[in-house]
Amino acid sequence: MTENRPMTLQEELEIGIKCSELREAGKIEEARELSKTRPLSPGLAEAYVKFLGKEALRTSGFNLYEVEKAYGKDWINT
Amino acid sequence: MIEAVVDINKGRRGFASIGMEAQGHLEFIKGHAKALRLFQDAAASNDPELMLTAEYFYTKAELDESQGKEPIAARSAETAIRKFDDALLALEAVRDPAFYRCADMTFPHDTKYRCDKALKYPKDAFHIAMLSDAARIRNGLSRMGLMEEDKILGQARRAMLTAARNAYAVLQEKALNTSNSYTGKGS
Repeated sequence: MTENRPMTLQEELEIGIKCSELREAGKIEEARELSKTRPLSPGLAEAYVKFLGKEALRTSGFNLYEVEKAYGKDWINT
Repeated sequence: MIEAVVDINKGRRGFASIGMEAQGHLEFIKGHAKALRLFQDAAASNDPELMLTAEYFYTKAELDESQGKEPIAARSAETAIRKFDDALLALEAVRDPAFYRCADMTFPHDTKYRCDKALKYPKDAFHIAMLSDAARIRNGLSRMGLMEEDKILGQARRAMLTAARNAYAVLQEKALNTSNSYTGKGS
């Protein structure tokens, strides 16, 4: 399960580049999981919930730090 | 799409930040390449809901980036999203032929409110959302200093929105069974 924590832009860019390297090496699933460690923005979380539901977001493995900061820790559970 | 738009947004921030320009640029380009493929695949799918979903996520990411920084762009993205929400309702309605035939009766049979020359299909919330977003993207493409990648992606999105309308019209045809379409009094 991904840790919900903040990240610097530098960290996020490095993860993005690492994801690309993994994809190029054919490690698609690993790239996808690594990509989810970057905090998901509140807007994208809202869109995710709209189309797939809160349960899907809860179990998605995304880093929900920004979402919790915007909507509170209880939002995802209600 | 989430991964693609995150790459684009982080990349944009990166190359505006001292010391992260190269990484930012790389992320930006990779994000655009991913998004371009996704929009092209969606356009080829003939699935209007898939195309709407792709555009919804992309626009939500645009809103995330512009909120608090570019109020005009943020308002524009918010309006687009409201229209997409209406488009989703239209998609739900068109899947119920009896319901949609009743809804069709409420649209005037005038070229302004129809989306085809034969005046068969109402220009409903789905068409309006796609047309409005295509116009919004077109206006964005005329901005000075736009990156080439943004232009290419904008054109791909517009092409997808046209494909979405065409695919949606197929659903409208199915729902309205236009061989028995309303002809109106005096026509």
